Amino acid sequence: MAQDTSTPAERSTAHVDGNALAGALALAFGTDMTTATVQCGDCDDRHRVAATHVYLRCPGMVMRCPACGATEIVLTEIRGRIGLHVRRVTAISFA
Amino acid sequence: MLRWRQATVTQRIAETDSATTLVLDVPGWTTHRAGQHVDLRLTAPDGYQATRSYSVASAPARPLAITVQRVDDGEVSPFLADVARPGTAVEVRGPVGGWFVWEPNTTDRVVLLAGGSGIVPLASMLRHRRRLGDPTPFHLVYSARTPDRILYRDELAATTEGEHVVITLTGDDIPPDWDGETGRVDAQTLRRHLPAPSGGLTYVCGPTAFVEAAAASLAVLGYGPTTIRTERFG
Repeated sequence: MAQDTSTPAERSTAHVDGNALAGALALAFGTDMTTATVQCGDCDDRHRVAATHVYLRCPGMVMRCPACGATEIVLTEIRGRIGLHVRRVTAISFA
Repeated sequence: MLRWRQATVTQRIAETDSATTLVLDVPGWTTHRAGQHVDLRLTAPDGYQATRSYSVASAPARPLAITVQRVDDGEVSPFLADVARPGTAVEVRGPVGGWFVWEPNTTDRVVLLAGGSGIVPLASMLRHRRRLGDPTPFHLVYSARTPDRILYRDELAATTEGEHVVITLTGDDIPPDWDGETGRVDAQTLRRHLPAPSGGLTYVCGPTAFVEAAAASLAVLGYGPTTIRTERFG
C-alpha cells in the first residue's frame, strides 16, 4: 500500500487491492494472507488475496473476486475488534 | 504477535511541496522487507480513530520511514504531512504484506513501474539493493505529473551499476528544460526502456488506473502475468 490518495468521492467507487487487507487479515489469521489463494464461491476463479479488489469505505472493507465481482469477505475493525464475514468463498489455502 | 505499537516521529524531511517523509522510532519493532507497508492509526481527543496504510520508504534494517503525500481533504495525511513533528506520537502496526516484496538473490532481474506515490515501496527496494551492493539489474520507470511531484529525485538520479531509471512526466505543462520522457506509461514507452521479457520479476505500484494500464502494456510486450506483482492504492 503506497498510500491511498483518492478523494472521498473517488473512494466510494474506486477499489484498491488485497494488499490493503494485510494488517487486519494478519491479525485474524496469525500469518500473512496476501499470498494466500482464494477460490471464489460464485465463479470458481482462484486468485491471490493480493489480487482481489478491495473497497475500503463501505463501511468495513469489502474484498471482491477480481474475475466476477462476487463479495468474498467483509472485514470490519472497530475498537480493536476484528469482524470477519466470509461470503462467497469455497476455499482459502495459505502457508 | 501483530499489535498496535506506540511510535514517535524522530525526523521529518520535506520531499516536495506536498509530500513529507517521517522517520519513526518504534520500540520493539521488527525490521520490514522491501515493499511492505504499515498500518498507521491516529486517535483524536474525542476517541475517534482513523487508520491508513503507508508503504515503508526506507531500506530494511534502516529506521522505519514513510513518505506521506498530502491529500487536501484527507483525514490523516494533512496531519502527517503538515503537523507531525519530532516528538509527535502515533500508533503503527506491522510490517505487513508478503506478496509485494523483493528479496535479494531471488530473481535475475527486477522491473519497477511506479505511478505517483507508488514510487515509495519501489524506492525501498532500490535502497535495499544499493545498501547491500546487490548486483540484480533494476529497471525503473516512474510516472509523475510534474517535476515538483517527483519524490526522491536526486537520489533516484544517482544510479549505480546495473540500474536504469526513467522518469516520465504526464502533466499538461512540461517545463521547456525537461529532457526526460513525457506522456503516460504505455507499451511504446515501456518498449523503449525495458528489456525483453525473459525471467525476472516486475513490481507495479500506483493508483488503480495506472496499475491496470501498466499491466496491460506489460502484457503487450509479452511479460507473463505470473511474473508481475501489483499493488493498487486507489
